[in-house]
Formats: sequence, C-alpha cells, structure tokens
Amino acid sequence: MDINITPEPPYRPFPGMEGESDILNLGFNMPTIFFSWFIIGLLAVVSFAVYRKLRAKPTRLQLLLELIVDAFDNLTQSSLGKRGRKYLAFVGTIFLFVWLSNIIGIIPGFEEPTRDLNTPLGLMILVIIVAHASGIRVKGLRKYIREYFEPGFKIKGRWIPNPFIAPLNIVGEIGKAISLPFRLFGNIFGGAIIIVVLSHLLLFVGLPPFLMFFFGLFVGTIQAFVFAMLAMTYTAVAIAD
Amino acid sequence: MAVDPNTIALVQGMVYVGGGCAIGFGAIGSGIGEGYTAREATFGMARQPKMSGEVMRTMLVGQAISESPGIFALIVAFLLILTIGDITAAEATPAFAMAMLGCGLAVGLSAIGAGTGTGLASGQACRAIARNPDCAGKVTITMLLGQALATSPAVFGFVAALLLILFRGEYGVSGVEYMPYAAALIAGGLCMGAGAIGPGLGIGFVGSQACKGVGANPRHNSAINKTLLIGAAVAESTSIYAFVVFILLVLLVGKQ
Repeated sequence: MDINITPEPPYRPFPGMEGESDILNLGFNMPTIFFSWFIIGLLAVVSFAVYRKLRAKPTRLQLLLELIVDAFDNLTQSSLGKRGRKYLAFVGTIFLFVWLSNIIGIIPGFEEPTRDLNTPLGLMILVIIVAHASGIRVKGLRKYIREYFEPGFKIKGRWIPNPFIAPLNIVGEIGKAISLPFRLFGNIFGGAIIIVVLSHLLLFVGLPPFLMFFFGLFVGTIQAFVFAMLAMTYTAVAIAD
Repeated sequence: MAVDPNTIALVQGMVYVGGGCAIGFGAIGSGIGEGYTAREATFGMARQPKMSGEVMRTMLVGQAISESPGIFALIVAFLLILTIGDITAAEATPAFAMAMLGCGLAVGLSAIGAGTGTGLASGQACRAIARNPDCAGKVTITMLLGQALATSPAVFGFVAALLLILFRGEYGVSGVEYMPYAAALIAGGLCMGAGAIGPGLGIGFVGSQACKGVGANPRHNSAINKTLLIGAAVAESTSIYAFVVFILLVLLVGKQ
C-alpha cells in the first residue's frame, strides 16, 4: 500500500526546528502566511465595507455580522461582567480568525493555516499575554504575584505566602499554555490526515464530501468556538477578585 | 557495523505494535464517552420529546469533542504505521523500537480518561437541557468548557508522542548503555499515558456536575464556570507532573 500522508506542503510539525537548521536559519511556511493574510484581509474588507454603510434596515451581510457581534457581546458580558465590552473585540476576532482558518480547507486548493502548528502557537502567545497583562492591570502587580502563593498560611491574622504552592501554580499555567494550541492543532491536523488517508483507501468514491463536512465545517466550528471560549475564560479567571 | 536483518525486522515490528497500541487503547475512552452521551440523550428525549432537536444537536457537538482524543490516537497510529514503518539500518536500535512503542502507549492510554471524561460532561449536558430547555445556551457553553478541559490530558499525551517521533534521529545510540536508554524511553511513554487516565476522568466528573448545576441554577453560570476552570486546573496538575517526568526521562536520562 502506498499512501503519502504528507499532503502538500510537506508535513513539518516544528518548522525551523527539524534537521540541522539553527536559530537564525528560520523556515518560512509560505502557504500558512499567505492564507493567514488572506483571511485577515477578507475579514477587514468585509467588516469595513459593511461598517461604512450601516442601515437601519439591514442588508443580509449586515444582519449576519450583527448576529455574530451580538452573540459575542452577550457571552463576554455574562462571563466578564461590566468589563465585557472591552474584551468583545479580542474574543470575537480570535473566534472569527480561527473559524475561517479551520473551515477554509473545504475549498479545493486552500490550506488551513491552523494545520501548521505555528498559527495556534502564535495565538496562544497572544492569549496568554492578554490574560496576564489584564490580570496585572486590574489587580495590580502586588496582588497578581500574591495570587501565585495562594492559598497561604494565616498566622495571627497575618498572611504568610506559601512557598510550596507557587511551583504548582506556575506549572499549571504552563500546562494551560501547552494544551491550548495543541488541542486546536491536533484536531485540525488530524482531520486533514484522516481525509487524505480515507480518500485514498476509498479511491475518492462517495465518502470524502461527508468527511470534509464533518472534519472541516463541524469540528472546525466547534474547535474555533472552544478556543475563543477558553481565551475568554482564562482572561475572566485572571481578572477575577 | 553491519546490522542484522532480524534486528531491523524486530524494530519494524515494534513500530507496528506501537501503532496498534495507539489506536487500540485510544478507542476505548472515546467509545465509552460517546456511548454515554447518546444514552443520556435518548433518555432526555424520552422525557422531553419537544426538545429532541436541541438535545440531538448537543449530543452531536458533545460527541464530536469526545472523539478528539480518539482522533489524536488515530493520527499517531497513521504516522507510526504509514510513515515510520520503513526504517533504515541506522535507526534499527532497541531505543528506536522502545520509543515508538512508548509513543503509542502515551497517546493511547492518555486517550482513555479524556474520552470517557468528555463523554460524562456532554451526557449530563444533554440531560440538563432535556430537564430545563430554557438554559440550553448556557449549558452548552459550560459543556464545551468542561469538555475542552477534559481533553487536556490527551493533548499532553499527543504532544509527548509527537516529541518522541520528532527526536527519531537521536535514537541511533549503540553500545552497552543503550538498554537504560531504551527503558527510559518506554518508561516515559508509559508514565505519560498512565498518568493522564485519572485526570481526564476527574475533569469529566467536574464538567458533568457543572453542566448539571447550570441546568439546575442557570443564573449562577459564571460562578460555576469559574469553579469548573479552577477545579479542573487542579485536577489536571497530576497529568502535568506526568508530562514533566516524561520530559525528564526523555531529555535528561536519554541524552547520557
């Protein structure tokens, strides 16, 4: 059986790290960069065009965008409270970008940027920075650092930091940062591999469109939503008192 | 040094055993979890036939996430069987064989708990929606959060397996010291896989009760979600220890 499961472009889970390439000899994955900018451009152009001509009696496109914005407005307000509006653009943009990145693969010739591990990793860095920076900004640096030593000891009403709990809290934060991007990457990359392998086994008869529907549209939408929800909840926990 | 063809055949056989372990163990949890979700959904539909459309949708979404540990296992099985199966003579060392077997064990065993746990959460979500149809949106969000957290141990197992595959060029160590090296690699895989079973199940317990709680008291969903996240992070920490020990075994012990 001769199945090439490394679809175009070749499978590279850690571009720039394989083989003997050193730090300065960075590898660039052109399809990922191209399709990421394609999605960014699409989102910017469509939303700007609709925003320029807002009407009281909305067009279909305006209605669609209003539905999305309204749904995310409710979500962020219900979990972040009065600060929800501030994070609406952040959470909504992450959802739209990841969602389009996941489902763009169903168009022949297009490749999901999220199939490349670098895209989820970059988004993870963004989410972690936003969550921790908002934590520091809302609670202050002192209280933010104190949170890592919780639960501390209470001796005669004075709070003593617990040095043993701090490593556990820090390891937990690292675990969050690892699991967030790999969950997305594994699902999208796994879907792509399953489509390629099963299509070859079935000689492209019948099933591939359904696989595309399930792994492309269905799993892609769910995972994009999960990614945005986790980004929002990490921020909510970081700024909670 | 000429390599015995029998050694190559043996090592190749071990790679296939690893692939079989990956999807064989990996299918257990997802199967149980998806079945449990469907069980609760059918029960809920019998209770509240009007809501069958909403319950059906929740069931399908929950099952799709329940499936992701199985999908991770399937990817690793495909990688092992289809691409790593043809090995060169330089790679035919006991360390390589044990690494690939450990790779299959890591992703396969870690999928057991995560698959079952995600299924518990989505099952209780289906039941809560059938009981209290007004809160369907809130329950769905809590379910997605609980399931996403419950898949984290399986994600660590998947990352461990990818790391073991990524370092495949480093296993060409020969000489007297290869036996501890090979043992450390398979121990790493076993440690990651077995260490992730409990946390996956445990986060599933948290997620299922959170869904039940939101269904019973939808107004307090944000407090429940926050407790879910913190509780799941604590329950998940033991799988992170397993991951840290895996890294130590593979990087520190292996490099000697």
